[in-house]
Amino acid sequence: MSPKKLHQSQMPVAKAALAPNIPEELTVDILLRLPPKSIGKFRCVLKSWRSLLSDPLFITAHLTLHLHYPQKLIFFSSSPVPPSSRSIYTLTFTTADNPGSEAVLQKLTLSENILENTSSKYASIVGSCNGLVLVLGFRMEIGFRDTMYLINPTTMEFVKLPASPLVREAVRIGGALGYDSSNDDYKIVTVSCDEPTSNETSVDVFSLRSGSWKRINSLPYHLDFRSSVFLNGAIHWLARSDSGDHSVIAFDLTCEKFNPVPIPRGEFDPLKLADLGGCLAMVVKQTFHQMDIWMMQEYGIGESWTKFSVPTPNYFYFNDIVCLLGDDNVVLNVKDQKLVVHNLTENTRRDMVVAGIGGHLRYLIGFSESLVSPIYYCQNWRAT
Amino acid sequence: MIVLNSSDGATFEVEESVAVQSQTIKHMIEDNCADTSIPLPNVNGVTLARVLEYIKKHAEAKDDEEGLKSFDAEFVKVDQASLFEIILAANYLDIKGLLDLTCQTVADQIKDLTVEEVRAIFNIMNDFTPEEEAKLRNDHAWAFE
Repeated sequence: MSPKKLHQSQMPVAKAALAPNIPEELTVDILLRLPPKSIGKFRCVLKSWRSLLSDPLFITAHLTLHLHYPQKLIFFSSSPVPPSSRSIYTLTFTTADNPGSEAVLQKLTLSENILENTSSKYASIVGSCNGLVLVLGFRMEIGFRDTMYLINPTTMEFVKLPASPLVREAVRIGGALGYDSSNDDYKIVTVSCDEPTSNETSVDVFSLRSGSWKRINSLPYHLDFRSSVFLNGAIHWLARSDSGDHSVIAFDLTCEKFNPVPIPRGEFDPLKLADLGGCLAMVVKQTFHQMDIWMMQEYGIGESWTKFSVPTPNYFYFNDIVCLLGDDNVVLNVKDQKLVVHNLTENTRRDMVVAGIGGHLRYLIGFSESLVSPIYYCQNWRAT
Repeated sequence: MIVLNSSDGATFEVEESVAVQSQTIKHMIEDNCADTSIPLPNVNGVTLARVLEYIKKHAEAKDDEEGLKSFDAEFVKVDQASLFEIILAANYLDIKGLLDLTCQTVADQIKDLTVEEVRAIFNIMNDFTPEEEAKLRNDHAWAFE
């Protein structure tokens, strides 16, 4: 831990009181502006700072001040040297407007090896919200149970969550994470489809505060659970009715009801949903040369869907759209092997091979840094 | 023109249209407390001069975003003691833009400092036992990388 070099005029004087007594509300104002790592560090300054900087109200206020487009990515991969077991990695982009500067790769070392415990073959990252990331272990074989881990990759805090007792074994399942602001609660929604016995999709909701599962009535359409987006207090999925009509469905986390979302008119086959800078986006087509993306500029207004095309020269495989970086860069995951940062204004791109990785970049999603504590939300039911 | 008196007896004249960037002064004028001059017992002359420099610039160059940005960047290049004096003045005078600017500046200056350096700046005595502090640092290893 090396001290930052201060300018001569700013060097703190050890003995004399440098700062006149700053009232607490101004100290709070200053501290709220700090990034999460600095706040974690400064919990060690004084007992009252530890209380203040761990207070859920402070953390929520901090979250509101710092909510911006994801600047970090999280994914599974394997290390380049044997034993190349799977781990969780994060990637931090340095400045968005500094082309050529590499992103910083970090292996996430939690106090428990999550991937080993989830039968890592079937684990995936399914969503992020307010700095929390949800890892879901699918039960693809009889005898395995679902496992869920809710992680804050910034503070390394995580909780293991109880599997849903409502889903039969060996049923395909997808999941999503969202925040219910009316109740200050995080909710996990799983979607399962009990093929071949039923064509219906079942939706179960887990509340972090109560620690319990609830089944929402089965839906008469298929939700594409690989592609969910949490936005505006609701989890959105692509859906398809039995007659084949496409739609976008939003599940409001407060009232726990489904509402349709207007989609652009026209014939197309939606491939995937994404959150681009706070706007709902839909990837509709991909050829070797270009990717068509619709963005709903104003939420809920059907006419505000705007189409734009991202050239994808010579990319043979599906480019997964990951997130927005800064104001006008889109991050694409090409064939799970490399990242492309595409600038929408100038229509330029930079390729980014992620050095230090042996295998593919799986389940890559964006997340933002926060101090939100999963343990705090589970305290009513979780044995410490 | 409005006349302002600092805590140490210095007198400053400023246009009312400029002075009302301070919500405190604005309310005093509205409540008719500003007949002759406004006493500001919480702000010394040096600091008041700096604050007036800020609000004058922000009044006259209101639409010049680039110009204001570089003015603001230069404005905060003062020693830390003066910066804290300006923060207290901006808080007392209720000038939001100046308060945001100065608080953000302090935040940027301290974010990479060590725990000890922050204690020095805020004049704080450590009240953790060595064991408590060691455990806390260990629990927050992620913050010290």
